Amino acid sequence: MADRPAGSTAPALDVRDVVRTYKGAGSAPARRALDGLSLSVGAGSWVALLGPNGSGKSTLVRLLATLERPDEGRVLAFGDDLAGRDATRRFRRSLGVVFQHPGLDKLLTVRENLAAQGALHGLRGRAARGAIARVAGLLEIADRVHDRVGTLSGGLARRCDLARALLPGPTLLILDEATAGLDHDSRLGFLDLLDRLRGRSETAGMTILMTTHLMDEAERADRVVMMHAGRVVLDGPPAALREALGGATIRCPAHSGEAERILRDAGLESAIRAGERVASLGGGAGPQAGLVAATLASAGVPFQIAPPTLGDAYLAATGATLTGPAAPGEAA
Amino acid sequence: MSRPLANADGSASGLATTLALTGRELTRVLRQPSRIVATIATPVLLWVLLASGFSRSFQSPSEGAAGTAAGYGGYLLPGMLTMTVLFTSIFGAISMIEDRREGFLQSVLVSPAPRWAIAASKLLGSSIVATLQASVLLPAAFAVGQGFGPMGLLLCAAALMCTALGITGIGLAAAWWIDSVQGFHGVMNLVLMPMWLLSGSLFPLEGASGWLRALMMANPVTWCTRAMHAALGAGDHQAGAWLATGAFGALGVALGWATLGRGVRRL
Repeated sequence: MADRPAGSTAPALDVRDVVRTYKGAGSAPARRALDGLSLSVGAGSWVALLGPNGSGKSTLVRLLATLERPDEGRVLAFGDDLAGRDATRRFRRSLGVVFQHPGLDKLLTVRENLAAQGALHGLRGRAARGAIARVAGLLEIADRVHDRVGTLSGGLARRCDLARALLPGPTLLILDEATAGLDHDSRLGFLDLLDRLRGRSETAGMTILMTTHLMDEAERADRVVMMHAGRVVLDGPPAALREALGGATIRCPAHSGEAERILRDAGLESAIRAGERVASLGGGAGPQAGLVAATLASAGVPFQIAPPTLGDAYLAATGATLTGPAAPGEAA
Repeated sequence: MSRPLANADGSASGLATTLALTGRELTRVLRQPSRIVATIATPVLLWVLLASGFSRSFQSPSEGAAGTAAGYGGYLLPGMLTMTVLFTSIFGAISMIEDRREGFLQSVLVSPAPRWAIAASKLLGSSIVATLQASVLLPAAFAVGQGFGPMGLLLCAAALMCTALGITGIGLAAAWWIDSVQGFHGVMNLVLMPMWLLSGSLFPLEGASGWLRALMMANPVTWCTRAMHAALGAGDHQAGAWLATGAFGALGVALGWATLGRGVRRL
C-alpha cells in the first residue's frame, strides 16, 4: 500500500466543524448540505456513514475525495490539512475512491482501464503489470481482464471498479453508495468481498469509509456514523447503537387497522416504517409483550417480536426513516 | 502486510499521464467504427454533391475565371477539411460529458495526476483524432489535380491541428456547463454550422460584402480555412491567416486548461 506518514498516529480522517452550502438554482434557496459536521476516522477502521438521501453523505465524500473544498471548517487526512495544495496531492496518493457510478471506461477492457489508472499513479511497465495481476487475483477477476467493461454484469463491473480503486495500494478506501443499482445477490457478493479483503495481507490496515442508506451494509462496519440534515446524530459500533435503545420491537403489517388498535389499546406508540407498523416494547419482551402478542395472535394479525435495528435507532434519534424524511403520521 | 498490491509512489509525471489518457481517447475512437465512417462519409458526400452542383456557377478568386468542376472541387476541399475537423473535435467535448456522467472523470480527478495533464490529454486526444480523420480527405486533392508536397502536408496538418485545438477548447468550456449530450449537440450545432458556413469554405470572403463580410472576417475559422487553402495550393499564404490560426489554437489550449485545470465545480 502507499505509505502513510511514518510513525503517524493521527486519525486517517479528521473533519472539524465543516460547512458546505450549495447555491439554489434560479430563485431556489441555498441548501446547507453539511452543517458544522465533525467526524474522526481512526486508521485501519471500517466506518459506515448511514443516512437517507439528502443527509449530506455524498457531499461529505466529495470533500473527503478532494473534489470540493468546505466553505467553513477543516479536513485533515493523516494529520495533513487538505486546505494546502501539496497536502491534497500527497493525500491523493494514498486514496482510493469507488463512486456511485463505476469510474471505468466501458469501451476499454478491464486491463486497459487498470493500466490507465496505474499511469495516473505513476505505475508503468513491469510495476504496472505486476500490480494489475495482483489486484486481479485478489478480486477474482483475472479471467475477465481482457473483456470490455461494457460487456460485464453490474456486479462484476463493481468488482472491477474496486480493483481500479485498490490498484495503487491506497491506505484509505472510500466507497460512496458503491452497491447502488446492484441486485440483491450482487450486492451481498460485493459486501462479502469487502469482508474478505480485511483478512487479506495485501489490504490489511486499510481504512474503509463507506456511505450507505442500507442497514445490513452498515452492520458490517466496525462503527456506524448516522447522518441527518448535514450533521452527525449518532456514532458508535452497530451493536451498541441498537442495544442503547433497549428492549425489543413488535412488527406488524403496515396497514392492519386491527394491529393499530391493539397496539394503541396497549399504550404503545407505533409508526409505519419500511412497509411495517413498528412499536417499541421498551423494557423488553416481558409481560406486556406477552399480552400484546397474545391479543394479536387471537385477532389473527401476523406479528414478529425482534430486537431493534439501526433503522429504529435512526428513527429514535431523528424522527425520520432511512428511506427519507418521515411522512406525516409515519414516524413515532 | 506481506506483500502490498503496488508500490505506487504517486509521482505520476504529467507526460506519462498525458500519454496514457490520450491513448485512451484514441482507443475509444477506434472502438466506434460507425463514428469514424459517419464523420468521413458526410464531408466526402457533401464535397462530391456541392462540387458537382456549383461547378458551373462558381468563380474561384485565385483563378479569376469561371471554374470547372475540378476548380470548385479544389476550392471546396479545404472547406470540407474544416467541416470534418469542426464536427470531429466536438466529439472530444461530448466525451467529457460522458466521462463526467459515467464517473470516469471523477476517478481521474481524485488521482494525484497533474491537472494540466488531464486537460492536455483531452485537448490532444480530440485534436489528433480530428486531424487524422480530416487528413483522410487529403488524397482527394490529387483527384482534382491539386497536388501538394510534404511541406504543404505539414502546413495543412498544422492548420488542422490548430483548428481542432480551438474548437475542442471551446467545446470543453461549453461542456463544463451543459449536463446532457443532447443539449450540447443543440448548442454546438447552433454555433458550429454558422461558423462553418461563414468560414469561406463554400464561398470566398472576397465575394461577400457588408455584414456578411464582417461576420466572416470576425470568424476565426475563416482564417484557419484560408491557411488550409494556402497549404493545399488553392490560395496564397497570408501571414495574418497563419497568425490567426495559431492564435485560435492557443485560445483552445487556454480554454481547455481553464476548464479542466482549475477545478471540479461541476462534477
